[in-house]
Amino acid sequence: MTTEADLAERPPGTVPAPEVPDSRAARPCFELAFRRDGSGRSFVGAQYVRYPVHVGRGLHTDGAAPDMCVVYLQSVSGGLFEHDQVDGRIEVAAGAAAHVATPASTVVHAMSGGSAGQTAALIAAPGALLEYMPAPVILFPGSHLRSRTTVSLAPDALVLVAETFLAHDHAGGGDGFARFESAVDVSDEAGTLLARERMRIDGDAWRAATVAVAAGMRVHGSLWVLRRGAGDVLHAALLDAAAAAEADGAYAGASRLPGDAGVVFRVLGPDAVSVERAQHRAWSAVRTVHAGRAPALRRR
Amino acid sequence: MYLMRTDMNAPQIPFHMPAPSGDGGGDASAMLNMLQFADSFFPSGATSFSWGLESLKLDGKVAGAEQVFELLSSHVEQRWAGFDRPLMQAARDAWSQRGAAALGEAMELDRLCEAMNLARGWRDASRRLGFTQLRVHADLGLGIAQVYLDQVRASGLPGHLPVVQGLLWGAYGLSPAGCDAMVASGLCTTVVGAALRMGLIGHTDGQRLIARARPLIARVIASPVPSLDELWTGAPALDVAAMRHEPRRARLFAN
Repeated sequence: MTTEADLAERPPGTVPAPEVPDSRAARPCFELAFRRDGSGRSFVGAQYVRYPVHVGRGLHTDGAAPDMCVVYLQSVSGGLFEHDQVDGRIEVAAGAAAHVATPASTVVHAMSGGSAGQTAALIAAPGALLEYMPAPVILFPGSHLRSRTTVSLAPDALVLVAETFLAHDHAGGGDGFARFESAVDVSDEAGTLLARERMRIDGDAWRAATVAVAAGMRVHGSLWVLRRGAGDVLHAALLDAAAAAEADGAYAGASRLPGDAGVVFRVLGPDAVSVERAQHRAWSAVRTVHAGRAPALRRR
Repeated sequence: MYLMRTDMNAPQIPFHMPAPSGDGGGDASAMLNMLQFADSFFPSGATSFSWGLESLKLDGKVAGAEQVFELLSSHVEQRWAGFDRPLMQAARDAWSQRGAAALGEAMELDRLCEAMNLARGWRDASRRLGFTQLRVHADLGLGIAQVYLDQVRASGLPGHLPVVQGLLWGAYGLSPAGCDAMVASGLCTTVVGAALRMGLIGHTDGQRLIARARPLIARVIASPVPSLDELWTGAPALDVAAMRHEPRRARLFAN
């Protein structure tokens, strides 16, 4: 309610903003729904976006998958700040194919005891392909990021989820991030839980770089390759990608997930380049198994 | 109604064995139970596993006592504290509060444990060790062990180790702190035993590492048990090591 005191303090000529209910809690910051047209080409069928996200237009720039719709998400605010909560939802219809990424890394800015959250709800219909591959998050001193991804996986759908984090002490004061939390839930169409990740790493444990946590490495990446009945072929391809990562000094492995949900690929590397290359090799291996051709998207 | 085994050699032991005293941990009988089940002489099958140590050694990441201790510490603080411990305690609590009516709850915990064991090496180890516990305790005449073992065999229930431990030890009436100490002690013995057999440390080094891990374990045991909504792990290099061990043909340990 506007009071006389408020009016007195307001500069002349300004009008108070109407009091409207805050709808942010009810609707995510972005919603994308991909469809497939009669010619087999995928497109953005529905879209909603608000601050702090910008959604680029749908592109068809993957020469190896010309019908796949490619969309880049950008942060208008310049990263994630303390108390931010950025939620998204991506739905891919039956037979449609989408690649959603960010054009650059996301900075998780310094914090003073609070945290920031980001969520992505991914829904893949039967036969859909969704590659959700944001660039790495960079954890600044004191930052605490809570990341949560939920995947609804229909039969014959393939969903890839990439997640990479690294710490950066821009001030050089020797301070690390506070905490990184990554939650991943993979369920089938009926909502039955197939696989669940609850990773929690405190900055102190990460910086100690002990043999079982960071093993002397500085960057961590995961690539979730989610497909029911993924089979040994996919696993074998990802093991090859893990072995190839050693040439860059990275430490990688792959394993079949519970619930016959697919395969998870994990890599620890001495720098962002080594992890990015390992992730790219793993992605290429999956595409080659799935579609017979490696992706031909321009590198970020 | 669940029945006891009736074979001639089976001891006549009831479905569960409530401890003579209230908390189950303060009397000599419960103490002797704990010593028996935690002893390396007990046929738990644990000596077949190195919990990532062999893989890390083969990859050149572990070379001596200090790194064995790092591995041990991470197992305790970054994996057991937030994952195995709360699952075991949830199963133990369920039995303590509801007895045989907790069976369905234990099965749900078992399925959750399966979904969260992302590396196949960890998953298979946890299942195998859980199965062994069930079989041994069923042979010892514990009714609930036989009932759960039948479920594992008949309906594909995973039978994961922490859930099985919580359920069985709850049936023996063992205390929460006692169960924590048994698991943590067993973990130390297994990892140190594997390090000994791989020639990474000597016997005295091993005893020093076990003693050095004690304050960490005590700190975890003194902390509140996380709820099932708060389960977590945080040892990615250990996960990678487990993954890399799966396809290896020449290996001494199963994980």
